[in-house]
Amino acid sequence: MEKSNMFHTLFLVPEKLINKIVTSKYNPLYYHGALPQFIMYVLFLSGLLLFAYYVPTVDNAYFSKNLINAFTSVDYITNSIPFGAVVRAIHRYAGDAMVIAILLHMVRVWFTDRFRQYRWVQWLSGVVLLLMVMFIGQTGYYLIWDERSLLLTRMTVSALESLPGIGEHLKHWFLNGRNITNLTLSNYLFIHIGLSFSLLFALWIHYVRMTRPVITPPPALNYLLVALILLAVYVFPITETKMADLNLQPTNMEIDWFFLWPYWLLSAVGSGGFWFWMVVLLAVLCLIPLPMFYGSKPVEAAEVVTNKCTGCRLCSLDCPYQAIEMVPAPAGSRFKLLATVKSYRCSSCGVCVGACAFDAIDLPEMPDAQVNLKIKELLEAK
Amino acid sequence: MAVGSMNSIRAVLVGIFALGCVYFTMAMPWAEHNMTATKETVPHTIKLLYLTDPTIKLFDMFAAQKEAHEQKLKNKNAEGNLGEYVYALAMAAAMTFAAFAIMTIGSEDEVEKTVLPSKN
Repeated sequence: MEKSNMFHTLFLVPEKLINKIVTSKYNPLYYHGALPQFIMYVLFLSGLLLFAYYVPTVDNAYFSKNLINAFTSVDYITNSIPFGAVVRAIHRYAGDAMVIAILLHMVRVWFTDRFRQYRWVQWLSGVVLLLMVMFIGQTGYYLIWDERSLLLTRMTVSALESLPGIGEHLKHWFLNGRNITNLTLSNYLFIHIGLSFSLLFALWIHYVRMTRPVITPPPALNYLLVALILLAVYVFPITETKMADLNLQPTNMEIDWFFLWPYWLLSAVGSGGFWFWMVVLLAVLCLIPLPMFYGSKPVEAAEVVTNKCTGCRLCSLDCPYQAIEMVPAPAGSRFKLLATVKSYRCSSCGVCVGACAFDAIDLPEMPDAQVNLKIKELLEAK
Repeated sequence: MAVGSMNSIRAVLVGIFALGCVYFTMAMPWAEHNMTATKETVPHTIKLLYLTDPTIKLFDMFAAQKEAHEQKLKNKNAEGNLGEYVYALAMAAAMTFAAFAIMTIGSEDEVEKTVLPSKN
């Protein structure tokens, strides 16, 4: 099936249906980039509340009433803090919703070809963001310190150890020592929270080369999103688990397919196969924006009419993609500066043509004279 | 005429959604106290508005569902206070109705209007 047919079936048909019900203003498919941003706020707030009571230690040598470690602190949050179980569930399901929203965003961006040419920065930064979110989610499961956490930790260590040369160092970094200790959980907490805040920096890179990015869905959509998460809280409540015991080796665990699918892969194909498939997946994602994989002609960049350019800098200041650089004018010129276009950044948007008061920059496929003629025809037709 | 009838339909819809939002909002204080309905669990604001008795009647309506919710959550081995999960469900329903009410009110200006300059 061709890409356009698949896009029509997967997106345009539901899009039209949703537009008929809630109108285009509230169609969530038009906010596929903004939805993960809002979910991130929900995660920050719920995570902050959980962080207030969380204790990152693994001590379980003495099974006494006053035992305080990560598992008992999570247990305390769930059973003793008002709405603790709900906040915990909101945090978990908002994480899953984040992955769904990011995947929807990624698929739609790919289908609409919004990764090509100058948009490669957005695509690559998006891949980095996805990796960060996946790792943050996985560290979240380590922090509970139940049997699943212990199994995940041991599986991760075995996967890291299998890497030649750097395996031992990575294991040391991951465990914050040679074995699992209190420092290990502190490390997980640092990664979980530190990476989460680093998302803001990665998002800045994701947005900086966009014009007018939509980063806030309308309030009605936000309410619906929170309502969906709360519904998930009721339908899939938090259930009891067993504390991790370093003397035991758990063998089974419940998989959260949104975050823990790499562990399923690891158990299915072993460490070698796991790293092979991870590298292949990462390579495919990173290589998508390469022009050799799609056959369209490149965007025609704007061209400067050098004998008209006065070096006023207006086009350079107005360009949303920082695609115009001012360089010293050639010798013999009356002016100090000359505009030059970086064709790999140019999106052919025409803002520079509008900014220039001297007709010194033009789009090759849409010259000024042609545009003016078209406007005149439209006005006379009215 | 068509615009007028559309506005009337919208007004009715907004009213229905608003009532739905209020109905499920009232379930939240009931659920918060582990799905028990007593005069003490009625929020102070409701008491100030002299709406305690209708609220207790509403709580009694909700109380009929208490066993069903408890059974459902116990079957899933839910941890923590069961009333809090029902609170989440009630909040989800209230937010959904609120969202629909907002969408109904705000859908008039969804078409971007392009103004062409007129020639005199």
